[in-house]
Amino acid sequence: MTQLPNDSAPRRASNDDIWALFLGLAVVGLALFGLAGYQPLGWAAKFEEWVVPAKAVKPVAWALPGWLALAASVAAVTSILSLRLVVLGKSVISAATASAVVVILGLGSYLLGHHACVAATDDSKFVVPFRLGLTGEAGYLVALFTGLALGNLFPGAARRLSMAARTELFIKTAIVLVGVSLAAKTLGQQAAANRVLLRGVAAIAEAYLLYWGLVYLLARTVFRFPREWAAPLASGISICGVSAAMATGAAIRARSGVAVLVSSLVVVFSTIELVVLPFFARWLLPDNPMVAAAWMGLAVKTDGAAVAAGAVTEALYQPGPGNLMVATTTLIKVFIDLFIGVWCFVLAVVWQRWFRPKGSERVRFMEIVERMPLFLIGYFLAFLGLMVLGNTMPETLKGIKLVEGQTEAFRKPLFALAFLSIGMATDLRRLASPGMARLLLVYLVSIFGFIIWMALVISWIFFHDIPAIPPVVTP
Amino acid sequence: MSNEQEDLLMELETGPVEPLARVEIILVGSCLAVGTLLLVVLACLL
Repeated sequence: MTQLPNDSAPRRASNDDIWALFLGLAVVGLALFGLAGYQPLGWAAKFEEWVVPAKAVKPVAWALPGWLALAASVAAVTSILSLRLVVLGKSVISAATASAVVVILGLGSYLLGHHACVAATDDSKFVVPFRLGLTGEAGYLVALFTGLALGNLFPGAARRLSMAARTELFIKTAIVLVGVSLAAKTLGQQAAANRVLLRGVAAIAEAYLLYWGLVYLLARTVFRFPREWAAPLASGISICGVSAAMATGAAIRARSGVAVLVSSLVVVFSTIELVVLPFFARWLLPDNPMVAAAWMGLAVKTDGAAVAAGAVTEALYQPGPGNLMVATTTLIKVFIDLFIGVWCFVLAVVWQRWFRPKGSERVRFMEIVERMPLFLIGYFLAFLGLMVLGNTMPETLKGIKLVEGQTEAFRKPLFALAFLSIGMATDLRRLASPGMARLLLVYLVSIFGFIIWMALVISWIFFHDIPAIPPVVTP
Repeated sequence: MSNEQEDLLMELETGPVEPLARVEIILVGSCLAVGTLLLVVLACLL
C-alpha cells in the first residue's frame, strides 16, 4: 500500500478501499454473465507477445481489431479514474487529463514489456536478435521504471499526475479479481486450495508476531526510538507497509507526521525489494517456486509491491498455466492485512491503559474497524462464491473459465498501473533528507538483517512440498 | 518534506531517551513467545 496520505486529509473522503471493492465487484459482476455463455467484457484488450505491433493486442472474445480493443480498455479505465476524481471534487479536465496520461503510460509500458525481445520464451515463435525470456510480465518492470523515471526526474509532472496514480486503488481492485483467478485455478482441486489456504494462514500467524516483536525491540533498545516512533516503525516494517504504519499511528495516537515519515521509507524500500528479491529468489531457490511466491508475500512490504513481486517471480519461474504462484503471494498478503486491524486494536488498548496521559481522548473501537481493509470482502466474496458455485454445480466450470478470461483482462493492466504508481511515489531523494539516517538504518538492519531471512525459513517450512501447478486429481 | 516532519526528525535526534517500560517488555516477550510457539506447533502439525 503505497499512497502516502496527506497529514490533514480526511481519510474517508478518498477511500480507495471502497472504490476498489465497488470496482472489483462491478467487473466480477459483469464477467459473471460468462456463466451463461455471454461475455459483456469481451471487448477488453488482451496483451500478447509481439514483433509486429498490429499483433500486440487482441480482444478477449469479441470480433474487433486489436487497436480498437486497446482503445476501449484505455477509455474504460480512464473514464472510471476520471469519474472517481470528479466525485472527489477535481475538475473534469484535470481529472480526465491526469487519468488518461497515467493509463496510457501504464498500458504503454506493459505493452512494451510484451515485445518479443523482452518477453519471448520460445525461439520458434519469433525471429529476434536477442531475447531476455522474461514473459509478458516484464511489462510490470517497464511500468515500474517508467514511474521511477517520471517521479524522480520530472517530479513536477509526477505531482500533477499523482491524483490519478493510485497504487492502492489499482492493486486492491486487482486483488478482488485475483479472487476469481484463484477460484478458477483451484476448482476441482479442493485439496490443493485448502492446502495453500491453510499453509498461508499458518505462515503469517507467527511471522508478523516475530517480526513485530523484534523490530520494536531493535528500534527501542539499539536505536533508542521513542514509543511514538517505534510502534509505527515496527508495524510498517514488519506487517504491511503504509497502511499498517498509518493504522498503528492512529491506534497509539502518534502525531500524523510520524506515520507519514515511516511510510515514505516503506515505499522506497518496497520498491527496492520488488526489483531485487524476485531475481534473488529465482537464483537461490531454482526448484521451489511456491517457496519463492510465499517469500514475496512474507518479505515484501505493501500490498502493491508484494503482489507485484509475486507476478515478477512467477514470470521468472515460468511454471506454466494454472499455477498458484501469484495466488499464493496474494493470499499471504491479504491474510496479513486482516491482522492489521486486530493488532492495532491490541496496541490501542495497551497504549490507552499504560502510555497515554489519564483523561486523554480514547481510541474508539469503530476507528479501528474503519481501518480494516474493505477490499478483502470483495476478494473473499469472489473466491468463495465461485468455489461454492463450481463445487456444487460442476457444469458451470466452463463458464467460470469465461469469467476468469474477462477479469484477467483487467487484472493485468491494473497491476501495470500499480507498478507505474509505485515508481511515481518512490521519491529516492527522501533517503538523503536530514535526520533520516537513523530511520534508514533501523529499516535496513530489520529488512536485510532478519526479516527476509525469517520469511525465507517460514516459507520453506510451509511451502517446500507444494507444487506450483496442482496435480490433476482423477475421481 | 513539511516543516512539521522536519521538526519531528529534529526532535528525534535531540529528544530525551524513553526507558523501556515493563509493559513493553511483556508485549515484545509475548509476541516472540507466541510467535515461536505457533511456528513450532504449526510446522509439526502441517
